Amino acid sequence: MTTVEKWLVPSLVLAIALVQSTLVLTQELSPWKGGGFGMFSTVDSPSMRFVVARGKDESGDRKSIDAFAGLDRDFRKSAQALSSPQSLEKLEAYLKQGSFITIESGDHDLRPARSTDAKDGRIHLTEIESEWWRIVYSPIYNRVSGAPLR
Amino acid sequence: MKPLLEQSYTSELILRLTALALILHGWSTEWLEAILVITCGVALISPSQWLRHPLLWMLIMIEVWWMNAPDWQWIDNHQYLISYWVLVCVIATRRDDPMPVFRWNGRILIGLAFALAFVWKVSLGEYWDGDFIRYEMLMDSRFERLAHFIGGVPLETLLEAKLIENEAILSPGTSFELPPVTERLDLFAKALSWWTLAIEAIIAAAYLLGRRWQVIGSWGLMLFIVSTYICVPVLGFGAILGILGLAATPVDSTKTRAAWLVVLAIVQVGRLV
Repeated sequence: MTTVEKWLVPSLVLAIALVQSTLVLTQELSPWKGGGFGMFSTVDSPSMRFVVARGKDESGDRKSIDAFAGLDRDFRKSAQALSSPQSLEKLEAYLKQGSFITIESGDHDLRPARSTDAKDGRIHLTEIESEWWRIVYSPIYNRVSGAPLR
Repeated sequence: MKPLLEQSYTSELILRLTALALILHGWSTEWLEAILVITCGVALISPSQWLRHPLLWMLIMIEVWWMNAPDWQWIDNHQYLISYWVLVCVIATRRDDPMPVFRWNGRILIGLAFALAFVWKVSLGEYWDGDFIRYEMLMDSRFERLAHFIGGVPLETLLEAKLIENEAILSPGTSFELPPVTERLDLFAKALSWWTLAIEAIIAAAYLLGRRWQVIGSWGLMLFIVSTYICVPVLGFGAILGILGLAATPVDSTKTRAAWLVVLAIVQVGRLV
């Protein structure tokens, strides 16, 4: 076999694994993703990551936002896997460009308005802040909580 | 069965199984998936001289990479493995005899995938006391039957655990106590954790160390595939590992080749789970 036949693919595997481990250490890429074969190695899978988003309405009240409601599925999967400041900026840009609807029941105050929602009653937010959080499991105390990612 | 196992047919078998796996184990983007399914369907039914043409596999590789590359952050690792394998198919079909390329790259890909998986599990430290497996048993619906029947955890408790996790998301910063873990579940989580570390290390070492150890590696990998992908059905991973295992099998091991075909069939049982 030639050198290319023998070593091209293994080199590619190792190169991508090296990039993946660097991104895990520096950019909050989940070890489950990115080609490093770290799936099922940690509780910190993409589905354990969520965004805590809050905005100020016109009367200055702070409201919690269900940031994932109506979000493009592929963007959400990508952002949960690579929960970088850049993904947060994109999410905030998406949230800022639209209006919001009050959620009657549930655990958030607002969700992004859809095109099918009535125009009346839409709320515009003056400031939006968001942060990546993740579920953290404490085996010693058998407890679970959300904690900021960074 | 005998013609399927002949050495002279093995490279063709590997190519046809690869095309079949690409058809069966679906993709994220619908219109690209349709193109890939058509291309692989053509490969599957083609006569040998078309099937073994490198241009066909170059086309398949371009389609697979075109689909996977934009989604590199969130696609599963078996899709990376498939992407590497279609490149191997391109390289291999440029030779009159593809088998040395298939055998070497199949072996190294298995060895590296399991070595990396082992390193991640060891370095993140969530396997030594069974912490990760214990949590997954409580929370991941794919482990529900194991948690209930082997771990002895009532189904209501598993539901309660998932609701508590949801509360933790909705009330960030607040800590919630999970339902107490049964001693059986704790023991089972530890045992499964250590088993996973051991089997992954054995497979990685056996495949990377070379031919003499490969028998151990083959049987270890078959055991891993059958035991894992029936309980946690990631069928795409089971299929690609089975194809790699078949490809890596030494020339004179007819029984091992036969066993790999059986394993590939058993993986599909995971569809029933």
